[in-house]
Amino acid sequence: MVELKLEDVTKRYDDAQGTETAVDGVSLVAEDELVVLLGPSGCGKTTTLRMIAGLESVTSGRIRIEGEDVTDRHPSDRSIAMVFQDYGLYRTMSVGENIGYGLKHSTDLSARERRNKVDAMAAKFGIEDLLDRDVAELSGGQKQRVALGRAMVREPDVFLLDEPLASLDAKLRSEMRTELQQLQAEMDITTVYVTHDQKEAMTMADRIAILDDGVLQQSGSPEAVYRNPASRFVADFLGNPPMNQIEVVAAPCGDPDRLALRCVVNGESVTLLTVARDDQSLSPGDEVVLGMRPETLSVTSPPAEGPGFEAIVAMTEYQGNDNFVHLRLGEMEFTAVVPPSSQPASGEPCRVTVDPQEIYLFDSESGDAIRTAGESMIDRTLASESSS
Amino acid sequence: MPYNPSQSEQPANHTGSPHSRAPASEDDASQSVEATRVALSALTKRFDDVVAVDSIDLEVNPGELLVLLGPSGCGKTTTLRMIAGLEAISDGVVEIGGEDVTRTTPQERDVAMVFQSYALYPHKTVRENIEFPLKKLSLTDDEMAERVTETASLLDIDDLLGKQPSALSGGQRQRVAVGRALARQPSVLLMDEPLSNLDAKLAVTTRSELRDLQQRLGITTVYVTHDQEEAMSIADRIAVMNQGRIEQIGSPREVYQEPRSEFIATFLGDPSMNVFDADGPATPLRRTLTETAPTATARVGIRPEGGYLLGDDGPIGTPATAVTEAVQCTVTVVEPIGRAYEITLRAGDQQFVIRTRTRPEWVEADADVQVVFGQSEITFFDETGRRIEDG
Repeated sequence: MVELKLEDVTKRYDDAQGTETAVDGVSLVAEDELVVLLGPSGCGKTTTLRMIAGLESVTSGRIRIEGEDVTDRHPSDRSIAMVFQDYGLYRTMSVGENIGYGLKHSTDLSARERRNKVDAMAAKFGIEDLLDRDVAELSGGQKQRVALGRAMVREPDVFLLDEPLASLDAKLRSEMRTELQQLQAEMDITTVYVTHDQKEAMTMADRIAILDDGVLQQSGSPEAVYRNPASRFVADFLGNPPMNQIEVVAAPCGDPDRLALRCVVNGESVTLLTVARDDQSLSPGDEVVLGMRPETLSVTSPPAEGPGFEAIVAMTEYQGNDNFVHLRLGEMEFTAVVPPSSQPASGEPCRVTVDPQEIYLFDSESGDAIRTAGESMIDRTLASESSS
Repeated sequence: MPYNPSQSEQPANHTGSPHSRAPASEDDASQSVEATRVALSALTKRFDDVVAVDSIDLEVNPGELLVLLGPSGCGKTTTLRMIAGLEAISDGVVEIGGEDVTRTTPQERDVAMVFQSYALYPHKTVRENIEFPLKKLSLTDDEMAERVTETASLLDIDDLLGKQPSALSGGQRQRVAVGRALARQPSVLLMDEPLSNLDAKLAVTTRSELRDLQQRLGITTVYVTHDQEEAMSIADRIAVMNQGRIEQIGSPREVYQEPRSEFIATFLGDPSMNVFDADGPATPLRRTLTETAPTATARVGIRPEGGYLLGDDGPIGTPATAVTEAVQCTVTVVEPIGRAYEITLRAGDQQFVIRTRTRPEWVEADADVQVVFGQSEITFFDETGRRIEDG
């Protein structure tokens, strides 16, 4: 049981051009779980990881491991191990020497005890036959395993990984992903994992922390963040294809209990869907951003009468287990994910429907979520404020 | 604005190509012309004693986007470079537009290539980068300016013409590289992993833009990638390569649904197909999957989307076909990927993955569940790895 705690951690760089805040007041707790730091390049995720490792100084805030303040400690005094994207192996040593190196220098184990640990770790990663090989002879996947083994053999309190799978091809990456996950679960070690790949993040994480511009935007289980994104940024970042977001206006419609969400297409106002008034806390005239996950849209071509709206099929991308249908509504483009059996033809009109339960609404100015599909209302007051 | 690479203002200047499409140049500007066919016969590349490309035959249809797909080292980039003229050909013939170009220089081939690294001139502006390959075409200044404007608006990089590549984002550089290739109005476009330097999200949007552009231009395109998702998304046809040979050519749907071999079946698809040995202890999973197996079956495969959780009202999801009997499994891992769930299951000592669009609450790690398989989605392979075709 190891708790890693970041308290208001900030990193500022000063240079001739001025001050740049790379990480801005990040607070985060990880305990015996795998936390993924996710975000676009330049969001501060790697800097955060390097501060936890002690490879980067902390401008303000504290880092604690098991309650102990390690903020100003040397990397080797933190009981952490880090795996880098480029592996960072010692080229002139054999696989066994690489794995045993840390043990030799940071513990007082006998040669025999070290050998036993190295053997056990090698067996865990399925590289026991490679122990005498030179690192240079290994494939990318094998090098990655050696790097992981070397980090884990020291039984650190905290395990840090910086895009460890980025150099591997897709197939190997997915194999290694599964392996790493099983290993982490088995060893129950507090792990912080940096990636920009949202599928990797969603499948591996117990918890995802999404950063943008140095600021922690949201953290939670992958499913919770996917279903309840706090903002347009998070909603857009998590999901492939990303969430469709369209600016709409709430307007009365024929049914007094419902409101129409309308947008302007080729100069005309078009109703995308209607929602129950009480569910949304929307008032006529409210301008909000409507979010629709591609997988919640259904597409019928040729268009039949009924709810929903008409769009044009721009193109269908076959994915084997899904079809991505790119749709055009006036100048707007959006995407639906449909089963592979459904393949509407390019250039044809179609009818698009979405279940009102599955929509998201965001404040058009702040971008904050007003309503998500996971939780029908985050904050009713937000909606009424935005309407005033 | 429609852009037609063959409606060259001065067809006579469209040289660099001894095999210029003469009839095409007479065409009315509003009408698209016949695109160019590329044919490879017994094309071979040997490096010392290694055969990198092993006698491949391939026809790329006019206007088609053909993807060469395969793992690293399969020979796909070498093949592309032989079409471009950047790699000497050991044996065999490359024909472009019906002409044998095997021994011609890259400049004589009327092809343009977009590289993974973009290969832009760092000290030239975007405009100068696009102009550079046009200089060999003896265009007037006005024509040159026109081409640049046309290309820039086609790729939506009008605002970037005065900038240097270092001031551009990865996505913008990629567009400039494509623009530079297309400005010459080549007959054939060759692309080598053009999206691999973009982050995953940008790659997804860029690939559909590329596809849209290629279709509007109707330009014959050969596209190399190792990414199966990218290949399936944009290709008219995919040629899957393995160890210097083409293992299968077909539409994305064909290669995915009717893979000719276990290699192809497992290379295409994410998560990849589950494959088990047909022989072994008669576990319930093995018995169920091999019930209808032809006698030559050595291995049996099932795609993750071919397995269905059994709920109170039958299979969850909509199996397109009859399903097998249920197999008792234990859930190991549930992975949400956003638009679906990937669920790893254990049956006895065998593990496999299924993919579902929805996930009932009772499906969680360590839960006992029942799984059925779509009968027609079970795939059989013989001992050489070839798929045994139905009936």
